[in-house]
Order: sequence, then C-alpha cells, then structure tokens
Amino acid sequence: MAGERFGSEAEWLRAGGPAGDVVLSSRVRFARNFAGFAFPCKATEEEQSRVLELAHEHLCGLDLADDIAWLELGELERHERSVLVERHLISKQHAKDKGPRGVAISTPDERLSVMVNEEDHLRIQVLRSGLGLREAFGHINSVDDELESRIDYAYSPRFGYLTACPTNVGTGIRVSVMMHLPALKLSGELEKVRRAAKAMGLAVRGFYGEGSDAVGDYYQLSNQTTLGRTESELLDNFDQDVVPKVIEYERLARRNLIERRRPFLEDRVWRAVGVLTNARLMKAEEAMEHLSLVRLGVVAGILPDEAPIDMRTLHQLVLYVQPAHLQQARGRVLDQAERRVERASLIREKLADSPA
Amino acid sequence: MTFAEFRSKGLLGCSDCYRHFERALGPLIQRSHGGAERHTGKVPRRAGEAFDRMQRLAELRKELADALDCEAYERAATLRDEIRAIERGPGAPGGGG
Repeated sequence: MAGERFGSEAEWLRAGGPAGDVVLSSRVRFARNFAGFAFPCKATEEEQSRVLELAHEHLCGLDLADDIAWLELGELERHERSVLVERHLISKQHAKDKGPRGVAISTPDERLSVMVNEEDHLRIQVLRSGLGLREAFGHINSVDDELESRIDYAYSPRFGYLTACPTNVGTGIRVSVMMHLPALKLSGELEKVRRAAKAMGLAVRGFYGEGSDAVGDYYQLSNQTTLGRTESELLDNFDQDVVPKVIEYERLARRNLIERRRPFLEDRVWRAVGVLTNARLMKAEEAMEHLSLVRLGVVAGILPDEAPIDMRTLHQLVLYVQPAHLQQARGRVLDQAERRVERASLIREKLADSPA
Repeated sequence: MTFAEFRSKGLLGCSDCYRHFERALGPLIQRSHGGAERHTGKVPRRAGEAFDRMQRLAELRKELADALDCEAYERAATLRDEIRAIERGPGAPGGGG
C-alpha cells in the first residue's frame, strides 16, 4: 500500500523548526509546464501520457540527495490517494481527477513533492517544518534548475512561466505558511488578522488548502500575486514582513491569556485533555479542536513537560485522526461509526503512551 | 480553444493561447496581479541564453547598419563577423551543442 512507504519521518510532522510555537510548516511551490504540449485540461490522453513519461524519466533521473518514490495515481486505491492528500503531498483535486497523472515524492523525508498533470504539467513543492521559507526556496530552485537543464519549459519573455491559469503566470510561485493561531481565536482577534491579510493580497485557507475549512485553528497564509515581482521580493515580503507580524500577534495574544486570563486558559486546555483522555466517540473535527488546545497548552507551559503528551506525538495525532491515516493505523477500512470509535481509542492509547 | 471557452473554464489550453489572446489577456492578467503586466522574475537558463543572444544580435545588427551608413567598412566587417559567430555559435539553433 502506498501509505506504508511513508513513515513518521515526514518533514512537517517534526516538531520544532524556527518559530515552531506558531508556524507548523512552510511551503514553496512552482507551477511549470513543458514546452510543446497542451496544458493538462486540453491535452489528449496521449499527450498526457507522454508528459507523464517524460516527467517520470526526468524526475527520477535528477541528481538529488534523496530517493524519489514515483506513484501513478490511477494505479492507487482511493484510500491510498487520500493518505497522500492528508500528508499534504498531493491536492484533493489531484486525488479526485481522472486520466494519466502521478506524483514524485522524496523519501523518507517527504520534503519534495512534484504533482504531474494536475492543473499544470508540474506542480513542484518543497516543505520545511517551522518557518523555513528561505531554505525551501533554495531547495526548490535547484530542483527547478536541474529539470530545466533537461527539458524546455513553456515560457515567454513577457508573461514568464506559462501556466494553465493566468492567476499563476509569471513566477508561478506560491509561498505559504501553516500557522497555529489558537490564542487569536480564543481572544476573538482572528477576524482582524484575516481581514488584514486579505487587504495585503494574501489568501487565507484551512489545513488542506483551497476549499478547506480552518479546523483546529490552523491557517494557511499564501501570496496571490505571481507576476510583476521577483521570487525574492515575494518571498521577502512574506518572510520578513507579513509572517513575523502574525507570529507576534499570536504570541502577544498567548501572553495576554496567560497573564490576564490564566484560569480561563487552563480550564479550556485541561477540559480538552479530559475529553481526549476519556471520550469513546470522536469526530475528526472535534479531535482537531481539542488537539489545538492541547498544543496551546504545551507551548504555553500550562501542561507539564511531555505530559500528557509531547509535541512530536501531538503532531502525529493531528495526522492520524484524519480518516485515511486512521484506517491505515488500524489496518482496515472503517465506516463512519467505526471511525469515531477507533479515533477515540487511538487518541486514548497515544495519550497513555506518551512519556509522562 | 476559443476565448469564450477560456472564460467559462478559467484555464488556457496551451502556451500559444498567451500569444493568440494576448490583447484580451493583457488587461485580465494585469487585474489579477495588482497592475503588473510583465514578468520580472526568474528566467529559465536556456531560454535566457537564447533571449540574450537575440538581444545581442539585434544590437549588433543596428550597429552594423550605422557603420555602413557612415561608410566605416572595416568596423562593419568586424561587426558582421561577430554576428555570424553568434548565429553559428554553440547552443544556437543548428550550431554545435
């Protein structure tokens, strides 16, 4: 099963990383198309297969540090594709689409993932835990350079890298960070930050990107503009300007809660621990909400070191409460009712296991 | 692909669309990117080289025309040799790898 190839060494599951108290992970993605082929939406099945072949050949032939796992999505079962979505390695759209398409993933760290024949021929992405946009950019840039040395990209001097959707044209870059903002939510200031971000031309999305909800107080912030500025300018604006501000707001909100509303905060955190430790039925969304409060508790020093849970196990739980991972952990397909039972039981096990 | 098809799907069919629909796409792209209308970022290394070569050739051809106007035939000859070298040089279409 595809999922088995991927262990717990995935980059973004690692706790820590710069500004790890607020920033879960950073991501840089490039949209690229091969010259001489129609874009995926208009390509014939033959062209799509040819693009897939070429991508396979060149991606697996790259001179990179990591091993590359190549997966053809049509050959995977639905739950195997869901595992990839939950690990942030492919988009929901890519899992749902039909036709020749694939993904190349660096193993075991899963830092690099390249979707083939999603909206564009290539969607290259690099992840880093915490705030690591500069490193992610350096990494993706070398992968991009290497690919381009082997095959021509669709490019025009005026419009830059040509993409299926004009909103991605030019640099084709999307810079984003996944932030955990529970204190801003608890103190009612989140809406202000959302509006400010939108006013700055940033997109604010949920845990699974486009079309997802902000469950568990996780918010993905990303740039919208890709043309007219250099990659460095877009990156710097994000990295030096926008993200540090949001980090500061969240940290300030956390300090305020600790200093002025400690009983309220402790109550919320310990109630979350109580439910997670004792519930017998749990929906994914509810689990995410409680885990978010526990994460806040750990970071704010409300919960003692490592007990009832350490950060790394917490991040793993955030992943393992998702439906496909839950079923993978239990080794069988579960219907909705069974998932609620198993999710609750898995959480109780992990909390009991955690170094105390 | 027709422009109408693009408008309904929001996706272009291939690189040529950017040329065929340039006039209509221009303002649309500008609006999506806060007024920007030109790419200022990364240039693919090989496309970049081809582009630089094209620009250099255009410059040299202009200088050649000026030299001929001024009857500076020695200078013109040097320029013509330089132009030929670039046209045939490594990496140029039909030139050595």
